[in-house]
Amino acid sequence: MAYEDEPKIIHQHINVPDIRKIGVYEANGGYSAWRKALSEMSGDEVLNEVKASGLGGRGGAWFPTGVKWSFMPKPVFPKYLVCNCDESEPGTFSNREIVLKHPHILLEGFMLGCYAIGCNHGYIYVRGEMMKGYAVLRQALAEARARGYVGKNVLGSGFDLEITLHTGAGAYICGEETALLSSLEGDRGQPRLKPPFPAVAGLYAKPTSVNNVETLSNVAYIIREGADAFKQYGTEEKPGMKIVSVSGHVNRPGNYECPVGTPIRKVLEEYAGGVWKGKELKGFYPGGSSTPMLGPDKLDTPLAPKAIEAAGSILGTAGLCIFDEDTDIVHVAARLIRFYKHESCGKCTPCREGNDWLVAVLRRLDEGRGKDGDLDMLLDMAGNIAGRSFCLLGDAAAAPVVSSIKEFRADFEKRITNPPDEKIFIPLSIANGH
Amino acid sequence: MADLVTVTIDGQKVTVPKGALVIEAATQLGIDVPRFCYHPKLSAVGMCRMCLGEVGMPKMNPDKTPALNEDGTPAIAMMPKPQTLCTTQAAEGMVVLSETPAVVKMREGVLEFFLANHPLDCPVCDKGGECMLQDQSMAYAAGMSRVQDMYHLRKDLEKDHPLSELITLDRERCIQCARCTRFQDEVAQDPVLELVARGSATMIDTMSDPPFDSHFSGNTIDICPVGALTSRDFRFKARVWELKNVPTISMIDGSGTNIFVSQRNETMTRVIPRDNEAVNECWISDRDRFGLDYVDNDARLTQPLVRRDGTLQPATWDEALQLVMDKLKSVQPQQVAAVGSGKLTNEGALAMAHLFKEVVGTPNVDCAWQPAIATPGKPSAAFYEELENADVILVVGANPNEELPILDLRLKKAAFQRKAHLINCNTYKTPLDRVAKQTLVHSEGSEVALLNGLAKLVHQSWTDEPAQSEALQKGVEGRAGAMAWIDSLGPYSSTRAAEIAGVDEAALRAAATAIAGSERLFLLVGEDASPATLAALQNLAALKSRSDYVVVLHPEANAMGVRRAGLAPGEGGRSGAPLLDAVFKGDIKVLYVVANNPLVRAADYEAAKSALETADFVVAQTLFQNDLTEHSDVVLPAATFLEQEGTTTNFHGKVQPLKQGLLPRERRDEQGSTLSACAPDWVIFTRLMQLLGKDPGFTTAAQWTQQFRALPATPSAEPKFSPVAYEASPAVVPDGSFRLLTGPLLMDGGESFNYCDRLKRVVPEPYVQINRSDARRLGIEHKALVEVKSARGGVQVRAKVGRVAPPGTVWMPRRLRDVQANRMVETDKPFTAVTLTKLEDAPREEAAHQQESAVTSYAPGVGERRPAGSTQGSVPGEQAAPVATV
Repeated sequence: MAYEDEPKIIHQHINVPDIRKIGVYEANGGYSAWRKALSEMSGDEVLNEVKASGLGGRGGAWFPTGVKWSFMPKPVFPKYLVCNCDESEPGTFSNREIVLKHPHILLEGFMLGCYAIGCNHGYIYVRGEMMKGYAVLRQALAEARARGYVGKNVLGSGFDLEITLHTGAGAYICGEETALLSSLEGDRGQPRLKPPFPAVAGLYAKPTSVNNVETLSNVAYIIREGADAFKQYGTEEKPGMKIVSVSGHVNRPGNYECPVGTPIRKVLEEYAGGVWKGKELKGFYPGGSSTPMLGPDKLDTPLAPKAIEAAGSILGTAGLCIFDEDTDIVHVAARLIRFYKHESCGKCTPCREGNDWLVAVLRRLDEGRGKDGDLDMLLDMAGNIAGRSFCLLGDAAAAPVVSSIKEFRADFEKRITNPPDEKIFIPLSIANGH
Repeated sequence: MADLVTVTIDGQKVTVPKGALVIEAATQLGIDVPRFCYHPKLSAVGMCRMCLGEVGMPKMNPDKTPALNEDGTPAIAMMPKPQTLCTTQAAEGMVVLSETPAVVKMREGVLEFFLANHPLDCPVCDKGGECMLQDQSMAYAAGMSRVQDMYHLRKDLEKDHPLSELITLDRERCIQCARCTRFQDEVAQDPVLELVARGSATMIDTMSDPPFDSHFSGNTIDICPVGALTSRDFRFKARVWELKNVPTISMIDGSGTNIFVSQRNETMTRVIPRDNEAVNECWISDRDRFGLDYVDNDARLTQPLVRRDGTLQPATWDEALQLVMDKLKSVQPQQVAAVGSGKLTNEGALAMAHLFKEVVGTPNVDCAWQPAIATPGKPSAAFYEELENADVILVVGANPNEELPILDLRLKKAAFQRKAHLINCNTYKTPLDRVAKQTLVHSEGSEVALLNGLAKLVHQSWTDEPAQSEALQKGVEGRAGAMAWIDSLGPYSSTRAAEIAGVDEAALRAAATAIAGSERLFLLVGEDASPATLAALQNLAALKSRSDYVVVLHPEANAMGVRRAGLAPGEGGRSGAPLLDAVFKGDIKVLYVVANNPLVRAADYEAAKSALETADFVVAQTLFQNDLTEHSDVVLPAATFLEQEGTTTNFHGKVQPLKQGLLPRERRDEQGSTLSACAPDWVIFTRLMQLLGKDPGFTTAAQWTQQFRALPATPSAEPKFSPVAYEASPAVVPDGSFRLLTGPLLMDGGESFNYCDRLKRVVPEPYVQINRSDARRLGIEHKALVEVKSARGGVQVRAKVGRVAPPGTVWMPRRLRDVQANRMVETDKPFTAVTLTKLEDAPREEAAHQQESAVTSYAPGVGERRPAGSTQGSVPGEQAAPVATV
């Protein structure tokens, strides 16, 4: 079956012309879940439905969303739902497409989430660089408000809901939920100590749930079609679909929504058209650049959290980044670590100082000035960052370095023993940043 | 008592309160956990990652019983990642490992990261010798750097980036631990420091104007774990291990701040705080730290001066004292007046009181030129501990930030960290309002009505619920005068009290509700409050059975001690304005002034000036030549508190010992032998007693101390009720005039500032505070030059436009540099009315800067909502002051 003909949840109507407009969205069944919830269901019933569906957080942690919502203490008011639309991981771009093409499916899911946890004021934190997405969301929100889906006494149900859009100022770290909340409050975008967790003391020290765009975009389907319909896709462990962002050396890069558990090979070869120019695969990141790199032997791993973990990496956001056989892995590592160095917030020592030195050592390696022992020093230094830093950014920064050295050590050693006369530059989709 | 838990750290068991941090538990066991960002007085953040350790919790079976190992010991599940011990809270059964090879490696790793970019300029660093990075590198670092061949890539940053006139930042040395920013945010509550930029470019900077605008900025030098923040005064002056630290008490203000005076070659090089949890914890104000330089100044008097042929000429001690003695003998006792001040030590004050009251026999003895109230009871010995645990604190007519900085810190701590309900009543807005639950800015002179209104509301809350408070009510109403007092509250309904005081009635009611429900109430009142205000406060305290918790905030160092020593008018004695009047009329012939200056501190400058000009004989016992010595016949050089032994009593009655940190200032000849020296006050008075033939036989300060300690102790205050009535003043402010309010400033540029080269630079230009609405009406912009004029005189100062002064009033410091409010105040009227005239626009660069910042400092993202017409710094609902067009 061709990709276009396979069943989908979020992407079902994404290519319908003008689905951005509320009229078209409604004509395709939009906001029926919101109407259904308000007229037929209590907040707890919505929450239980989401819980029953087994929907896991699509931001990378895969924690059950319904369980996360149920952690929020009931009697404390106000409570907040915050949508994390700060997608910044190199190689991950599924949220961007949802926001740009299909904003109402996010808004509807967001409203249902607010209803489920009893939140009367939700925030959508949009990445600063995603200006067009912000404009689209603002337009969509205005349309929803005009239809009475947002505001006081929504559709006569007695439920008040206010939604505020907020743009970040351009920091990767604000995708970390506590840093996001700090930034939303107007402070420096730096992670906070946990505990207390946001479910207890989040935004303005009130119970807060922070959920990813893709997670919330699934909620409308679950309410409309029921948890069982959702569970018919995916694996037992993590039901539903996952949008896989395929980038790098492939023939058809893009977002592909497929059931959790689909083998990577299927996504690469059937959907994305295989490695470009008829070349062989050298390696890939299964879940964005912060996940350890895997080699071609792991291509049959299903895209499910546990299976990927068993293969030695993390599913994360399922940002699949493909490298062909001619890729300069040393350069890839050097380029990636520059990204994490640039994005380190500076709060803790290992990440602030350590990434600086990883960049320095990897750069000299990349430029052919490496020394004996550099690889072991890199591994040791990365080991002093990963697991020692305040938040996961340190781990994210160390992972590509450690995994690429482990997986392709020969490439690194060759660069030390046979330095190139001239630096080779290979364009990489993920290198289009700074 | 809080729940206790037992944790095991490196095999040793320790019991701590639940929720205590593991790093504190380890300290109890004597286990050194290295740290940079953790400081016991600041919130824990876990940023530096130096204190990482391995932490485990007891494993639980599914049935919630503790799981056991095969040998019967509790099974421990170690956490997968190392934890920062400064943020981990102790829990029952927790196991912590801080010495394992993995932990050793973590520490080496973190230190390697720190040192990779650290300049290692320890040989020229002021912190060298007391640097945490130095110490911990020696103890925990690997010893060799793996990145030394990349030294050329080390960050190359600014070495001298002044944050203020007092403090400079070395950006290379900074390790971004955020101790300084947290101190400013949490302890000083002056959030003027912030980390800017991100990642490895993170740095500390200040955005305030003037830069680093805080009275406590110097403490960041002490808590900086490296040499990043250094004192511009101490910079490159000495190595810390060469210093001799003398423990003493700062007599700059009434806090009784414990300090070390560090000296090298008998020269004072710096002042640092000395930990005392009962007084100043580990903090001191900038005035204490940078404001003692005057002691070591060449302008100090070292030799007595005697007026001969109209000019002051050097004389020997014998000549000068003989002259004073002859004069004292030649007049009637009643024709002698002696005025000291709260700057005297207990011993100096006691000797002075003894000399003039007993030996000379005059009742005209005092310690101030203006009447002041005194604490009626006996403040608790654990004053600050109780204050921090107070549930409601009522502050009336005081501005601790400018008068008693250490109290200010404690009040902020009580209100901010301990959530005490702080009620601040003053005639203008003070920095304390930032942490106050209720701010009652009332009209001047309406304190009694306000407090009576509060008392009535508190009493009413009892009668409303008689069942709950019957016993209370009986206890109080049974006291003498209680019923009469309660009846006298009749006219002070909340509506009327609020109307008289000009405060919001709802706020008044909220304050009363808090007081009514309080169990640990504190009532703090400024020294300048009227006796009626004090009486009204005492009534309120008696109602709550907290009579000993009425404390007067004396800003002067030893105000309590000198009063206890007897520096107060005897029977029929004159003081204050009547005393000056008597000098002017010739009823008093000899005026002996000690550590005081009527020209600065009398309520009326002109009265003091004419008294001094007409006085028969004036003796000034002082540190420097000044406008008082110009009118003096004999000038005696006194020693400062740093140059003598003795004791001092702070505002809450704590007597603390002074240690001689420096030798009394001397004048030497070319060979180096001493020609003459200044002398401690008690020595001068004892010598005068000897000359007058009444030798007390004392040769040491300790003997006077013994006498002082033998004085009867202040008794506890009896709860008593005395009706006080509000007296409305019929006078009104004329149209177009403003009521003049005055208040204290810590950095007032007074006499001693002239001799503190560093501190005098932070003294602001003389200014007047004008309310925004008034300023807008008059077209006066921020920093414009205005003339403030009363019937007595006028001054030209810069305008500060804000909300400190309520509408219809202007606020001026009592003294700022050479601008003294006592030259304008009309003492014969209930208040002083002044007019404002704009003389000059704000300086061009100021106005230009303001406009520029309004445009550039706020750059909203695309599509972000921005209210129309919003400008930088404007408060919602209130338009910013108009900026002059250039």
